[in-house]
Order: sequence, then structure tokens, then C-alpha cells
Amino acid sequence: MSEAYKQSYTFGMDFGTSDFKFGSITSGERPEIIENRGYFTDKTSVIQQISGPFKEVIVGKDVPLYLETREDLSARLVYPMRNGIVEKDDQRCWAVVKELTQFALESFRPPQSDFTGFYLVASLSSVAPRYMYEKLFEIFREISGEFQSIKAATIIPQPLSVAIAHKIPTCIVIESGHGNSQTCPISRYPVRDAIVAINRGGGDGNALTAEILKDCGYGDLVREESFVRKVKENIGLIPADLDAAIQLAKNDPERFRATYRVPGTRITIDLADKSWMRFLIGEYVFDPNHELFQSYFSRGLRKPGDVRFGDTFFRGMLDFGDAIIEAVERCPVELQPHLYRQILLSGGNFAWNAPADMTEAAIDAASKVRLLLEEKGVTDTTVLIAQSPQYSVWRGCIVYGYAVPTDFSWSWERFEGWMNF
Amino acid sequence: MTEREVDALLIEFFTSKGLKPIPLAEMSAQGEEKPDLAFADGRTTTYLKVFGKHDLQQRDALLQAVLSSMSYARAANRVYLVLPKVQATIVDAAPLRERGLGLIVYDSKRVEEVLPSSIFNHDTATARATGDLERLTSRIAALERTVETLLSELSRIKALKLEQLEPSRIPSRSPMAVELQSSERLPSFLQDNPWLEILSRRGREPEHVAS
Repeated sequence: MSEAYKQSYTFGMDFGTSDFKFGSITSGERPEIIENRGYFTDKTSVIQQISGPFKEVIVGKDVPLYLETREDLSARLVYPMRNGIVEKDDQRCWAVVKELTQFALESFRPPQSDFTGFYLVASLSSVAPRYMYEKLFEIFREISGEFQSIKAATIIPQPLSVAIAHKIPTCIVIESGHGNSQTCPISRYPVRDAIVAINRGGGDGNALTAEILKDCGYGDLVREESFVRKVKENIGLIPADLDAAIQLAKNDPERFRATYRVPGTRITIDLADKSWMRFLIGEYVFDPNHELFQSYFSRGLRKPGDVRFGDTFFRGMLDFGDAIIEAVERCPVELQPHLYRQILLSGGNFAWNAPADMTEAAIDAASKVRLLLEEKGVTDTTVLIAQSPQYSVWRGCIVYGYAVPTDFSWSWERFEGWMNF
Repeated sequence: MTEREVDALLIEFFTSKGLKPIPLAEMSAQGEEKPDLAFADGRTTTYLKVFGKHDLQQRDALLQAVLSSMSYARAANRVYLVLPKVQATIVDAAPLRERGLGLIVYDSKRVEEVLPSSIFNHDTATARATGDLERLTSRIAALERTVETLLSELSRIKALKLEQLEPSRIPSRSPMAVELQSSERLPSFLQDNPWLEILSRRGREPEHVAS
């Protein structure tokens, strides 16, 4: 099969923790985005019985049409990659992954008569264990057999995709999602043995925000995580120095006052004289070791613990500065300065407000990481926040599929190459 | 309301439209359950499945009724479900519409046709294109033409995008030659991307295992 064919029919898929991004090379700058979830339908429901052939898993924009107000909704609505990892024997999660893959490919099936299948590049979390690669290839093989929509496929780690999309061949990528974060050095290849995984992500920031809302008298509103997340995004701030920022906010509470009017409702969140707490939210995401957080742990906030998912050990309380240093120091000494000079922050957990009138106290994510490294003696650094973080993994997939030669076959030693079907 | 009162309302409703009730003994249901009421106007027949207030208490009652009503379509030209107005709110009309079933609701004062039934033709020799059928046929034909136009337009746009990518294709077997002569036409993330050259060497460079 020629390179020209492959370049015409390159297809990218990004299995993110919340969203599934997909599209062929003809999509331009942006992929299609749907939620990375599937709804298992009720076989006995009236709509299923009289609406044609039975479909076990619904994905894409049709999901809301099938949702029912029932107690078992949470069991029927499956998010297969909430933590970036799918359990080996979780058949329901794999069924959703297969349905999403098929849905994506069929959405872009070209009418051309020469089409014999896409060259598919899928991207997974860098901590995805080998069995996930094996299982995904098995799904691709099944789909290829049934629908002839995949000619060959490959799987690459998300940090590599991000580095490719940002045109940086040597760098360290920190990908921080809802459930966890991964620090991955890249030097033309992902340095897999140097990956440092952290069991902390945007979800932990939400949990602390919920505790703060309870302390401020809004305990009745914290049951919905999506609501708490919105509050976090609107009032949470990253302090340059937590103690100094709290002191400033306590001395001038009006200037640092945290208020948030929930759109379309009569609800207004106002932290009033406790507005200094908004700095706790940002600090906790980047470094949860300040003594102030102990009181929250003792009152029931889940302390991020050390856990093992698959083959990967996730550290709970490691701050982002230490995580970068640990990852870099697992690489050859010669490479280390180059990695510190290109640190790329990717993922929704790095999107924070830094109001222009609070610059002496509140900073953005890149500045915070730079400060954490400076505290530990690493000074010559460049920290960038990924542009278009939603699309960068998909873009990296397209570049990868476009450039990697068709005769480079998959190798389980290298975890690279095309698996031909 | 008693069952008899409901039947009386329905008979009044259909007779006002020129239909006459068919006696139970003359009803044909193709070996299936017979309808609760049936009407004819000389050319077509209409079968009804009538529900009382207490008939829908079991979870699958409506489903069973819908499925059995589907069999009426083998004998009748129009098929309606008849529900008390207060309970009609639980019914999603879309699946009924897809199957061609009509929906009638009633309360103590009146009967209302909220979803017309499709016409089921059983005898091709006598089947005639009624006004409704003609309108449907012409609308389907228009839709088919629109879909064809859209498909052709989509195909043209995709071909156009692929043409734009053509000049920059990498010749096989010469991975070093990543020439992006018309890079301004490529998506921004492909333009001037040093990874293109790095990746195009994969499999053609000394063995390297990053980890």
C-alpha cells in the first residue's frame, strides 16, 4: 500500500478521560468531539422494542435521547477511561471503546472506490499497560474484519502526541486530567522508564472546592461535581506563595473577594471574609503538602494516596516540581538540561485564571511550575502551556500517521509501528 | 368513565367523519387478537386498541399493546392506539410515528386525534394513491434528491481537501524527502513540523528503544 494512500486516509483518535476526539486528515484543524462514554440500554424499554434493531451500547450525540430518570443510571452510563486505564476484564468498558471506535470510523467513511481502510493512529494515556494495547488492537482487528474500515493501526502515548503537535522533539510533557497526571520525558521517543505518574488531577481540586463550599455555608450545593468544578474554575486561584497570598487576602478581603453567580439561576456563591480560601484550591492541585490541608484530611477530605493501576505506581502527594525533577533525573545527564528547557503543560487541569489586578499573589500554571522548580534549585527552565489542549493529542496522531512509513511494522519491543490487518 | 361511555364517544367521533362501526363478528385480525373497535368507510378499515384508566398500571402493558397493534396493520388500513388524555403524556409519539400507528386521546368531554395513522395498503390492485400517500411519496422523493445532492457535495469537498494535500505527499521508500512545498495549504500543525522528518525515518534508523 502506497504512502500516498496512507496520507490520504490517515485517521486520528484520542481516548481522553472525559472526551473522545476523532477525525481523518481531511478534518482540517479540529477533530470531532464527543464524550468518552456509552449508555447501556434497557432491553425491556418501550422505545427499544419498537424503534427497530436492538442496540446494546449507545455513544455520541444520541446518548441524551436514551437517558432515563432511573436509579440505575450511573450503572448504565459508562465512562471507560475515567482514570486513563481500563481494567483488563471490564467487558462493559471495552464494549464502549469498540462502539466509539466504530462510530468514529463510520462517521468518516469516504465514498471513494479506492478506499480499503484507514491508517488509524490511536492515542492512550502514557501509563496504559500493555494489555490495553493488546485489547485495543484486538478491537481494531474485529472492526477491520467486519467493516473493512481499518487498513492498519498504531497506538501512541498521549504525551508524545502533544509534543508532536507542538513541534517540540525534546521536552518533558505533563499531562494532567481529571483523575491523575503523568510526567513524561520525550526525546524523539517517549522515555517510558522515566514516566512519573501522580494520583492527583482536576478531580482532587474539585473535592477541596467542595470542602471549602461546605465551610462557607454552601454544603447543599456540593453534590453535583460538575457544579463544583464550575465554581473551582471561576474562583480558584494559584498562589505564587500560599502563606503570603493568604495574608494579602485577609488584609484586603474586598479586593480578593471570591464571588460566582451561577448562570441561569438565582444562586450566587460568595466566600466573603473567607475569600482567602480560593488560594488553597490552586495550591492543592500543584502541591498538597502545606500544613493547612491537614485539617481538611482530618475532617474527611480524601488524601491522595499512592496506588498501583496496571503496571504503574501513582504517587499521591508528590508536587509537580518534584515529579518533573524525578522524571528528568531518570534520563541521561546530557539530556537533562534540554528537558528542563522545554516543559509543556497539557490538559484541562492547567487552565487557571490569573487576574491582572492580583499579580502579586495569583499566577498562572506555567509560573507556578517554574517557581516549584526554582525552590528546588532548577533555574534554567521554559514552561509552556499547551495551545488548544483539547485538540493537540489528535493533531499529534495525524502528524504521526502522515509521516511514519507504511512498512514500519508494529514491534512489541519498541511499542511503535503499524499493525496491519 | 366506563368502557361503554368511551366506546360511545369513539363511535360518535368516527361516525362524524363518515365511518361506520364494524360488528365484532365481522372483524378480521389475521389470526391475531381482535381490535377493541373497528370502523369502515367503504374503501378503508380502521382498527382501534382502546385503553382505560387502569389498563396501563403494569409496566409492560403499553409495550404489549403496541406490539399487538402492529399485527392489526396486516388487516386494517389505519391503526390507532386510544389512551386517556392524562396518561398520554407518558407516551413518546416518535416510535408510533415510525411504525405508522396513530394516537387518539380522550377525556370525559371529547376525543382528539393527536397523531394520524399512516395508511397500510393490503390489496395492490385496489390500492390507490390517496392524497396523503401522494404527498408522502413526493416528500420522500424530494428528500432523496436532497440526500443525493448532499452526498455529491460532500464527496466533492473531500476530494478538494485531498487534492490540496497531494503535492506534499511523501514518496514511499524515500523517507528523507519530506517536502512540504505547498505547506501553506496544510493544517498549521503539519506545517514546518520537525517531527515529520523524525517520524519518516522510523524503521530506517539504528535500533533505538527509548525506554
